[in-house]
Amino acid sequence: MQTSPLKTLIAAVSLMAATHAHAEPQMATGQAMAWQCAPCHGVNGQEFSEAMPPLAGMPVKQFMDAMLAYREGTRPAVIMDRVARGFTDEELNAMAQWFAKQPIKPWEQTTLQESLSAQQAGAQAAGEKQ
Amino acid sequence: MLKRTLLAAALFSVSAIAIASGGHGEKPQANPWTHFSLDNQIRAMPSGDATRGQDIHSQMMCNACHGEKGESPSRNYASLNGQPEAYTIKMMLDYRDGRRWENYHQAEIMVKISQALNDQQIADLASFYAQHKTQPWTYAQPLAAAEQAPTDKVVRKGDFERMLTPCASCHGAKGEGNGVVPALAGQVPEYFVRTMKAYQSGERHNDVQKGMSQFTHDLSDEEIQALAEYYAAMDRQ
Amino acid sequence: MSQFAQSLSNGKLGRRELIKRFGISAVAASGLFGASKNAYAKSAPHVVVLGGGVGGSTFAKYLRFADSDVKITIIEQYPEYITCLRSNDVIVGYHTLDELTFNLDTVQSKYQVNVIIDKAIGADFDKKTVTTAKGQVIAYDKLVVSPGIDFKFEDYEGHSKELAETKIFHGYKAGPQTLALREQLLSVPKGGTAIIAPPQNPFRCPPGPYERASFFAEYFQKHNPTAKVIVLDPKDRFTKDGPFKKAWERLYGYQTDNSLIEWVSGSDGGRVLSVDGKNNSVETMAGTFKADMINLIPNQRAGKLAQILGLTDASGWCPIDRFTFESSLQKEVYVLGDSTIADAMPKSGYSANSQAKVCAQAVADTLRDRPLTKSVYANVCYSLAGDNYGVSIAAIYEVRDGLIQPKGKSEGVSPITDKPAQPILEAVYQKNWQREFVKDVFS
Repeated sequence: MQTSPLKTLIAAVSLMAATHAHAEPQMATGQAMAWQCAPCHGVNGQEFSEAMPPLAGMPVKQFMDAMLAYREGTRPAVIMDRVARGFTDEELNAMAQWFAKQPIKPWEQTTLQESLSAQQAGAQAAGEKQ
Repeated sequence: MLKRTLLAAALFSVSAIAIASGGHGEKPQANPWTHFSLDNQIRAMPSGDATRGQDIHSQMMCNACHGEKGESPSRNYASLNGQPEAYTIKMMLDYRDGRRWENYHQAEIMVKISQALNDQQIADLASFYAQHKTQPWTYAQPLAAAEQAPTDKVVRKGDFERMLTPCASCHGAKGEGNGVVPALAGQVPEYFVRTMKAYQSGERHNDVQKGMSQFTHDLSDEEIQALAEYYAAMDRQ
Repeated sequence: MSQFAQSLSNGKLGRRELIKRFGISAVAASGLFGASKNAYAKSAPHVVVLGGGVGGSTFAKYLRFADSDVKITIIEQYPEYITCLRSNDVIVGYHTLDELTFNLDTVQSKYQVNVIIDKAIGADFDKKTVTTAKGQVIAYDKLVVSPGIDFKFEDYEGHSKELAETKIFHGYKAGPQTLALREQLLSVPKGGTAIIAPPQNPFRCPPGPYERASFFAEYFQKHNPTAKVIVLDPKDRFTKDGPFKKAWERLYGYQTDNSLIEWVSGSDGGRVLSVDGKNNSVETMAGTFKADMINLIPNQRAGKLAQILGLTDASGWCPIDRFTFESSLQKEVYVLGDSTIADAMPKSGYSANSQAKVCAQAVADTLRDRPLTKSVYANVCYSLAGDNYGVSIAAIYEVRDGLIQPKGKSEGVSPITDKPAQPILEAVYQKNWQREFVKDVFS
C-alpha cells in the first residue's frame, strides 16, 4: 500500500496532538469542573430546596464574588474556603460562565435534551468549543 | 479574648444539650401563635445587647451566609440588617420550636442553629441586626420603567378591587418594618419571591392568623417578582 | 454492590419509597429504552459497564452527558442497590435500609442506558466481549469496571467468610450485615463492651469506623451509659483524627475515666491478630479483649471481579492511568472507585463519583478522536461524630508529577475552632450531601 506524504504528515501531527493532550492540557473545562460540584449542589447546580445553595443560573459576578471571597478568606465558611483554594481565577470564571447558563429549575423537572442544550451553551459561554 | 472563650464555652454547653436531645430532624410541636401569645412571648424575652450579639453573629457563623452586619452576600439567603428586634426574635423562636419548617431541608441550618441558642443569645442577635440599617441589596437591579408605577401603587395604595392592603401600611413607607413585621427594604429578591410563594402554597404558616399569607394569593408571579426587585433596590436614606 | 441486596430485595425493600423519592416516572418508565435503542446508529460505539453502584451508575449518566449517541449498557448483578453511605445511621436507628435503597430505573429511562440484571463472570479482551452467568456474550468497544472491594479474612487467624456472616460482622457492605450489627448493638448488656476493629490502610471509607465508634458511643450515652466502645486499631493515625478526637472529648468524655470511647493505637498494640468466635474475643499485640459484640472490619483488596479479570497488581488493587482511569494492565478497559490506586484520593463514594465523571468525558473524547481535556477530581467526606456534630475533609485534585494530588491549597480537614456552629453546620451539610449525592448517582 502506498502512503502519501500528506497522509503521513497528518498521522504524525495527530499523533503528536494526542500525545500532547495526554501529557496535560492547561486547564480543565468549566463543565468538567462544574460537574464535580453536583454531590452537594445538585446535578448541574439545579437543587433548589436544600441547605446548600443552587448554582444553576447564578449570575457570573455573584459566583465570582463568592468564590474569591471564600478563597481569600474574607467570607467565613464551613467548607467552601477549602474548595475555593483549589481553583485559579480562570478556572472559577469558566465554572461561573457554565453555571450561569444552567436552567433555574429542579433537576427532576429538566429533560435530558433541555440539559444537553444548556450544557452546550455553558461550554460556549466558557469559551470552549463543543 | 477571655470573654470570647467564655462565650464559646457557654455556646458549646448549650449546643451539647441540643445534641443530646435531637434525633434526625424530629420536629418539635408548637401551637400556632395568637396575637396575645406572641405579644406575651416577645415581652418575656430578656433585653438584648448588640455588642454581645455581634460576638454571637461571628461565633455561630451567621456571618458566613448573612454577611458582616446582616447584609446578605448571596441571592440564596435573607438580609437581616435593619430588621426590627421583635421580628428577628420571632423568626428564631419559630425556627427553634417548629413553626418555621417550610421545606425543611432548606430551613435545616436555621433550625439547628436556633436550637443551639438560648433566649438571651437570641435577643442579643436581634439587637445587633436592628442596630444596622437596611441598605439596597448589593446586586439589586433597577426595576423596569413600565413596572415602576403599578408596583409602587401596590406598595403605597394597595388594590381595593382585590382587597389588597398597601404593603407600606404594615411594612412602613420606607420598607423599614415595625415590631414583628419585617423590614423589606434591601431584601434579597430570590428570598422575597421564595417567601411569597411559600405563603401562597401554605408551606409557610408562621404568620399570626394569616396576617401575611392572605395578601399573597391574589398577586401574580410577575407582580411578586416586581415587588421583590422594587424592595431590593429600595434605599431608606 | 451489596452481596446481600438480592435476598433483601425479595422482601420488603419496595418501590413505594422509590416512588416517593423520585416520582412515578422513575419507576414506571423503564419501557422507554425500547424506543431509544432503535434510534442508535448501527455504527454507534458500545460502552459496557460492569457494576451499577456509585461508580458505574454515575459513569453511565455522565457518559450520556458527554455523548448523546453512544450506546451504553450496565450489567449489574442485583436489581436494587443499598448504599454504604449512611449505613452507620441504620445501625443506630437514624435511617432505615429502605431509605438507602436505590435502583437503576431512572438511569435507564432518562439517560437511555440499557440495564441487564445479570452477573458478569469473565471477559475476552482480545475479542472484546463480556460473559455473564446466564450465558450472555456481550461485545464492547470500551469496558468500564467498578467492582468495589473484597475482604482479606485470611489476615486474621480464626476468621473466615462464614464467621463474618454469622457472628463477627463487618458491616462494610450495606444490607443484612448492617441489620445484624444493629441487633448486636441493641443486645449489648448494661455496662457491656463493643469492639470496633478498623482495617489497615488502604480501605473503603476511611472515616467509616470512627464515625461508627462515635455513633455507638452516642447510642450508649442515651441508652446504656455504663457501656463502652473500644477501638482496636492497627494504625497510629486515622483520617480526621484531630477533629474526631476533639469531638469525642466534647461529647463522650474521651480520655477521662468515664470515657465512652477508648481508642487503642497500633503502637499500643491495637492490631488484631486472631479472632475467637466462640468466646467472642480477639487477640491483639496488647493482649486478649473479650466483648459483647465484635465488629471486625477486615483488611481489603480490589473486588472479586477485578481479580478475576486480572486488573489487579501485586498490591491487590488496580493500577490506572491517572488522567482517564484506563487500566494500566488492559487497554480499552477502565476501572473506577474503591478498587483503584488513585494516590491521594480516598476510597470514598465521592471519589468514585468524581472519577466516573472524568472517565466518562475521557471515554467520550477517545471514542470521537477528540483531544483529552485536563482532569480535575474532587472529594468531600462528611462524617458525623454525633447526630448534630459533623467533621469533614475536602480537596480538589489534579494529576501532577504522574500522581493524583491535591490541587492548589484545597486539601484540609475541619478546623478545630471555638465556634460552636462549625460542627452543627457540618452535620446539616452532611445530611444535605447524602441526599444530593444519591440523586447525582441514581437520578
